Amino acid sequence: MTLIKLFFEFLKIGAFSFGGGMATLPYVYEMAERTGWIEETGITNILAVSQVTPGPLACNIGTIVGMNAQGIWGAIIANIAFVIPAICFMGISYRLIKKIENNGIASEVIKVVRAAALAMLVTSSITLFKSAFFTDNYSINFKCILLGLGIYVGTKYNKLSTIQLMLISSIIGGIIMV
Amino acid sequence: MKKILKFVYIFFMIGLESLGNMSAVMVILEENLIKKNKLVEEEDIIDAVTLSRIGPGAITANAVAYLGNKIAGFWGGVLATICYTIAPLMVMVAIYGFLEKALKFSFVQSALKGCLIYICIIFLKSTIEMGKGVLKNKFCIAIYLIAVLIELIFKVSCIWIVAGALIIGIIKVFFLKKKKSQLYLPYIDIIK
Repeated sequence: MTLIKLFFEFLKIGAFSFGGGMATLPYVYEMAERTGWIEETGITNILAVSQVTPGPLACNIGTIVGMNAQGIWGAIIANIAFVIPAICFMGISYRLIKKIENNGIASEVIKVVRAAALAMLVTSSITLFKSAFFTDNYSINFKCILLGLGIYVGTKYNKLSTIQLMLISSIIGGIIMV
Repeated sequence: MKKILKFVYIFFMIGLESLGNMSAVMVILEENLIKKNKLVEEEDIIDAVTLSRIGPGAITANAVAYLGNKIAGFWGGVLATICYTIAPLMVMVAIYGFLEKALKFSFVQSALKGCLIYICIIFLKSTIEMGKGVLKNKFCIAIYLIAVLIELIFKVSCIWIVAGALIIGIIKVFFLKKKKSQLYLPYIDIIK
């Protein structure tokens, strides 16, 4: 019974939270209050933790809430329920795009939209850069910039895989910034 | 069968590598799907990111669903999204017990920062690549700059940016059409 309830809760969150991970939070807080599957401090902890674990924030919340409520099966059900709306929406919109893409007028319009989309991408990465290269009181962190330059040169001249490079840079980062 | 296994493996690895927010995951998608396996193109990733911002749910999961659709149809989308969520699920379950304690070590925190810096560098590189593909004429560059300014100053929701660009695009297409037909007229006169 809890599994079914969990399924519908996360289906609802997946279908109605527009705007990514942070937009799911109001629903999650509301759900936490109603069901008692997780406490408010628990949600704050997930927020901190999900910066460092793979996967979207909402899926991480789903896993933890599911684990709290019903163990591993709860986690799996919550994750599946959460992505069902995404799969449906994207399946439909991909077909729509395909249909209008070959139309000359539509492809011109899509080009303009792509330029605006690129702008959104760049502005949304500002927080990423701020937390990587600046300290908390807005001064430049030179160690980080040095490491960044090192990584840039490193990625130019070798053919390691993404995950290997990620590991290497995190180890170097850990050593020089402790 | 081999193809399906490879597909599963690729999206599982994407899930495992996808730390951070959308900008970071976009980089991972590019590395895995364009550079390593040549399954999609730059434009597809931009479309995926744009649409997934508009759609409900987690942005990165949406983008993965879109790209799965692109590569292998509807069931490709389903499989890609499921594979993408399995790896984070496993990691989260594995560290469920002792995660909060681990975060208190300063080594862990600075290691995470190192990781973040790597993502930033790759992000810079791939946005420059994308910019070369998208900003081909002056009109697109102008739209890009205006969108950046609007986003920075007013912080409007992305839906309005996309809607605005859509309207401007439609106006531009019809405006240019008229202009072209006017341009052709003198030539017709000369021929006559």
